[in-house]
Amino acid sequence: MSRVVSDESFEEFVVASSARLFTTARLLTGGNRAEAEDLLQGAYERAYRHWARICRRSEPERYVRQALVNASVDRWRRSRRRPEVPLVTDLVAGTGDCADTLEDRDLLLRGLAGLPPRQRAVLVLRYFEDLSEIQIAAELGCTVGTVKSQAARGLSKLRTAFDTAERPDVGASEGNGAR
Amino acid sequence: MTDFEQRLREAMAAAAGPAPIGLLAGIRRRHRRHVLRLAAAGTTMATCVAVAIPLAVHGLGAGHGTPREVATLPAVPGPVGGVQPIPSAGPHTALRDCMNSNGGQMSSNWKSQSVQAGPVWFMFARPPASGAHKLHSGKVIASALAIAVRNGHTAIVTAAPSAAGRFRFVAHFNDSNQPYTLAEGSRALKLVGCPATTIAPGIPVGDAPGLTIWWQGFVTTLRGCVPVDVREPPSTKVTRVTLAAPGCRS
Repeated sequence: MSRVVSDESFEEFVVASSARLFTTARLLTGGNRAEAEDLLQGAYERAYRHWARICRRSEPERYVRQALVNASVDRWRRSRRRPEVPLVTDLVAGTGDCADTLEDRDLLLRGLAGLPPRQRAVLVLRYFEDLSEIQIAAELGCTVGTVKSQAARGLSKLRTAFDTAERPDVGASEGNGAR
Repeated sequence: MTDFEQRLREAMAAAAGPAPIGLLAGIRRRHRRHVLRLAAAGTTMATCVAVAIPLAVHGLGAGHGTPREVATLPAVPGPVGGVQPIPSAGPHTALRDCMNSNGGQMSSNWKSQSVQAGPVWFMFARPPASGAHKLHSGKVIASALAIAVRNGHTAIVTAAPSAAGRFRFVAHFNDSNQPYTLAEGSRALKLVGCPATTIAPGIPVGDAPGLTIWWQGFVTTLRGCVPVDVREPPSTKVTRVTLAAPGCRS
């Protein structure tokens, strides 16, 4: 495959897949936009290096997604040694819904950001990427049993965080405002 | 799927947004940086090896030359980095001449551990002295040895027909981590010694007088001794000798 053709097909692939993979990266990094962008660039660049080989496979997106997950876990390990606090959490739980729904989504995404990276990765792959447990196991290089247990623990922690989270009393503030 | 899972799914879907601006440009920038880093690492490696090879050949002559020390020889300068490619001397034949001699100081007893065929010396290649001369690379073994030819003489070295398909002289040393393959090597070496009146650089007269020496890599799938043929053109007479390749015990 010539380099020009290869470049073109790579660009097409990036255009087609970047929006979805960027959201995956943001979910994996707990909403850190800069870090997500950096991870995504790195994963695509890796794919570009081996593009001639990767594009022959049926799922180049899978390669990039796998690189994203691995890089996010690696980065989390490094950050445990040198903790960094993101200035901005980028995850916005959509617009155009009622306040309760937005608040719940926001709580869920914040809870997700607080999970260990493997559990977070399993949940993102399961509920955002819609992968089966078998596919997740293949992507993460672990057994289906591990995927199940990580998902169960992740969901349990998320539920606990969600149930115990303090919600601002919308009604009270409205009442205060009316007064 | 429970209600909670459904809400999680919706929350994630609602978080979706557009791709970052300038992503492709960022990928290209990153790729350029990667290529530059590789180039810099390659240059550094080539420089290190260019310095290490003469030093290592010098190391041969540190005055010991016991079989055990000899066996460690390729571990330092072996085919792991870049040096000058060997110029061609015809089809499937690489040229080694006075210009690219990289010989060093020999120990005084090197002859007793080397194999001679006419004007050519395969230094420290006497079977079974060199069992540890090996760098494994998949099924192919890559290794190296010092070859010398008497000044003023020319010789052609080829693997004997029985080993021809399974032995090659490496055309050049690869960058690190690059595996060697039989396909990239040369079947024969043409060794052209320095003029008879010249003393090759770095060779004390008392140790290896009148020899031009090269450090030469080879790859083989053989797991034993390698028979090679040496011919001194224009003569057609062939002298066959056996070299110790990794695994050679006979």
